[in-house]
Amino acid sequence: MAEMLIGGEWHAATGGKTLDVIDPANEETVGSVPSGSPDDVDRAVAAAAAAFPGWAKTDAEQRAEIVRTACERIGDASERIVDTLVHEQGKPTAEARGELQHFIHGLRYYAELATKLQGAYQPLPSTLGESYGLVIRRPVGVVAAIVPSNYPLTLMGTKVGPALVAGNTVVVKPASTTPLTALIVGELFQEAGLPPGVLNVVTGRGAAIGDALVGHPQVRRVAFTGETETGRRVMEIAGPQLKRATLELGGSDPVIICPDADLIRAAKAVLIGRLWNAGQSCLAGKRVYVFAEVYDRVLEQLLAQIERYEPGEGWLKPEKPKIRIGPVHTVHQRETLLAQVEDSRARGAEILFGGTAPERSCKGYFMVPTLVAEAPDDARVVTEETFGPVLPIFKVADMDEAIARANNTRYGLGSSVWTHDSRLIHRAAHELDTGMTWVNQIHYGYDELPFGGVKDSGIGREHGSEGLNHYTELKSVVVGGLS
Amino acid sequence: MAFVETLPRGMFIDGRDVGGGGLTATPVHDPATGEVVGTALEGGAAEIDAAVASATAAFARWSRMPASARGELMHAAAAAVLSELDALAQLLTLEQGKPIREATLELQRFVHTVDHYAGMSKNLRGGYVPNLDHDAHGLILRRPLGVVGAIVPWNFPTTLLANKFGPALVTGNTLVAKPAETTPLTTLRIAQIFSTAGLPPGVFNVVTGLGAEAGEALVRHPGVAKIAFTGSTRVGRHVMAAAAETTKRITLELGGSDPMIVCEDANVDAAVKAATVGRFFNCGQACLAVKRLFVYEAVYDEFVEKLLARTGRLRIGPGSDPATLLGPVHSDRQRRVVEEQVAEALDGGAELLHGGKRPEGESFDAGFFYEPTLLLEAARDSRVATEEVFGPALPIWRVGDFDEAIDRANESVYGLGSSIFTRDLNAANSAAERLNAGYTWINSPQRPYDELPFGGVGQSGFGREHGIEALDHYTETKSVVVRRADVETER
Repeated sequence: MAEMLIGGEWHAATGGKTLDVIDPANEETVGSVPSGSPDDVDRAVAAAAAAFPGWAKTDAEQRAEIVRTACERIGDASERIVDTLVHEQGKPTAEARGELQHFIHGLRYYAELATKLQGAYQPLPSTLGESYGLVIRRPVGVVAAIVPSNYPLTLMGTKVGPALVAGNTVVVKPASTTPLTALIVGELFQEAGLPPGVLNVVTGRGAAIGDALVGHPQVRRVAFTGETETGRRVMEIAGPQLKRATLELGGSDPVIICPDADLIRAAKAVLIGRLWNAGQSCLAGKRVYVFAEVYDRVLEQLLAQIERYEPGEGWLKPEKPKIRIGPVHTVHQRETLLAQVEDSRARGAEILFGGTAPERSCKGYFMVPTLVAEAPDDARVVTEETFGPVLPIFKVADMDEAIARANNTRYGLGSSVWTHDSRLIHRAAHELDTGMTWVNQIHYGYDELPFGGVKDSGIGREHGSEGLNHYTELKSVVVGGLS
Repeated sequence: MAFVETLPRGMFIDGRDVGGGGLTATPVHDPATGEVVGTALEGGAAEIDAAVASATAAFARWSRMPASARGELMHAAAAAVLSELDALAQLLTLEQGKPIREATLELQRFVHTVDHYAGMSKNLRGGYVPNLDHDAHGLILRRPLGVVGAIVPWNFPTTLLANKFGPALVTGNTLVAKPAETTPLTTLRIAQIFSTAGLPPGVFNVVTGLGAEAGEALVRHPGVAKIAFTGSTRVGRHVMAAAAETTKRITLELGGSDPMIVCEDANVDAAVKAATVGRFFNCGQACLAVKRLFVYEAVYDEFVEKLLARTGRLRIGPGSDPATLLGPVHSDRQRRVVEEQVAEALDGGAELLHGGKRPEGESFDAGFFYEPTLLLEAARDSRVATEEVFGPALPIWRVGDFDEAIDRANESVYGLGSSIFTRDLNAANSAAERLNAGYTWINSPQRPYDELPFGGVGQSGFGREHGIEALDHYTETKSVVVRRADVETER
């Protein structure tokens, strides 16, 4: 059994309870981890709080060096990590490799920014005598990083990377269904020379330890990625304690395909984006609005491509030209998806492909990629996030209609437009109510650009130097008495 | 009073005065006399709805206007307020209680802040990331949030509004402001002046009413993208939890208990002046104020003697008297809280050096006056040490060395301002780094500058106002990836 990382040491849960980790592809047990309690949270936060003064004072260069060394160790252990990720999460091996590379890239990005954190010098009016101002940046303190099951590595990296390089200490709570990769990463950070207590990993169920972690008085900052409803709960607990919180929540990204677009490329990118990670990405085109004059041609392309996807175990390579799609992460998640599709069918939508579990298997939470045409605007596939391989497609008359329907959602994470018309590009960039817009490109979260949502998709930004700012607190300093 | 006849009545929504048929009118009192000087309507959900609808409609136009044109309209609005400064200062003194000199200063600061942000209109910038990927570049846009709700307290009704109004409007947002129910009049008059000066209807709306009704409706309104709140920590906590319902952006500027450290090598005269102004300005009712004094043994006697002398010279009286240096506390309720805090400190063994009671004399009887109060060596767990003291009472403690001073200073749950008087570069730098606060003044009176970000850590709040940093809290970044034609897509 794996143990959790607290204060540089490995511990079972207080009381000794454990939690099995299930492979979503064959429902076998992959391993087990401690089922933590609020007492374990207390110990981890205490360790992080004790480590904070020393870590905050460590040279930024030294902090960056440790993160870079950890990246090397993680790279060396890539086969072990990828294999664990495939089995606990369900994703195909190629995607797990991609996630690991992106994770390392993100950590290195912040390691490189560590020594570039700057403050400001501000001349001041002499009303109260000669003086000048400084704006300095101080680390926040103990950070709680709550990571979901869809990208256990990268979504941990977007929190741990900036938190550590800015001088904070961290308690990570991985999803209860994907704790194993996080524990390996914790182990490799220790080996890389991270002082005890700077990075802690507490495993267990959200219902048992989530509130205790978010509500812990010594946790000054919560970085959460997950569902919108859980995000609200986090903010409701963090609010009364005035904790800093960033929330990266759900999305229902619109894609607009204009008549002048490269339709083959657009259709291919939309499907890759939608079916990557079995459709379980916060950032992905989840509603496609196609101009009427090219609608049939886009549909034809989508149908030709979608057939190529073959549900199967992530570790098995498909025969060309088939493309592997792994299982949905939980059986509950698949039930929700099937109900969402059934709801659109009942409301008059046409299910052009899929809409069911595959017939082949009795084990595993697989689902056939699904294409839904012309669901009405009140259908669940429009109003809710579809967190799985379901793609609804709609016909629109013009850009006004496309933007209005694209914005008709409570979410506002990503969006994209396919066109080379600069007027339409400008409109999409400025009028789509989202935190990101891609032009002629798949929805990919670059480490270099701030990432985050508006509306119910969350608060704050990760990635970019903007992400780092959320891990420091500004302080103004006035130096007076100079004359 | 003829002046009172010209006072605003009603609310300001969609570019006009709105009377409230059927709404209760709360009396507004002069804290110096207890007399009723006006009324404010108790708005609720319906009035908030109307104001948000107007602000939403105005947002579509205001956010698309050239930024420089927004700046010009804001400059014009500020100039119009400046031209009526004297009348506004009288009105502010009447409803708030502060000395006319301080009311004038406050309105000058109001104009300065609005002009400061108007001046940024030509310098709003985004980002460009070259060669983000093969044949692709990245843009970082900054988009306005939409309708912002501004909840403003009674201690500085106008400057604390300007901190929200300036950055919100220059970046293209529209505003629904809810002033405190005891100080709505100056804000309403300013809304009229702004409108006459050319600010388009709906860009700035004022809804009066109680926090539990109008305030609550604003915080919970789904059409409001952000709440900018200044007020008590208790209410701030509630705002943050309630805002979670609609995932609103928030900034919270809450209470403070700012420490000031006077070291052995300090310029004692400068420190005494900073302590007196820092504690007794606005009758001690400032979030940013010297609220706990830690003085080194070596200069303690000299410091306390000079502080006592200076405090004794503070002339108490109605704000309308130009000779007044210390006006009344804003409300009887507020005065009772301060009285209880002082009494508890004295029961716990503190020594009373000055004040500690209401001033005597007929002219004080009807108002909410309280003498400037100095307390020595109150217990470490006394209310004056652990709570915010929002009135004219200052506790002073002796400290042995730098570490003790910093540790005591950091004992508070608050973390807004802080200051240190020393000539030692190491001590000054160390204080700047170690004091848990959003602001540290070194050898300087505690005064917030428009040029520097202001806001607290710990229980003092969330986010920053002032400085260019305030703009970040009124815009949302949007990343845009632009891929040029004829490039192979991934995989």
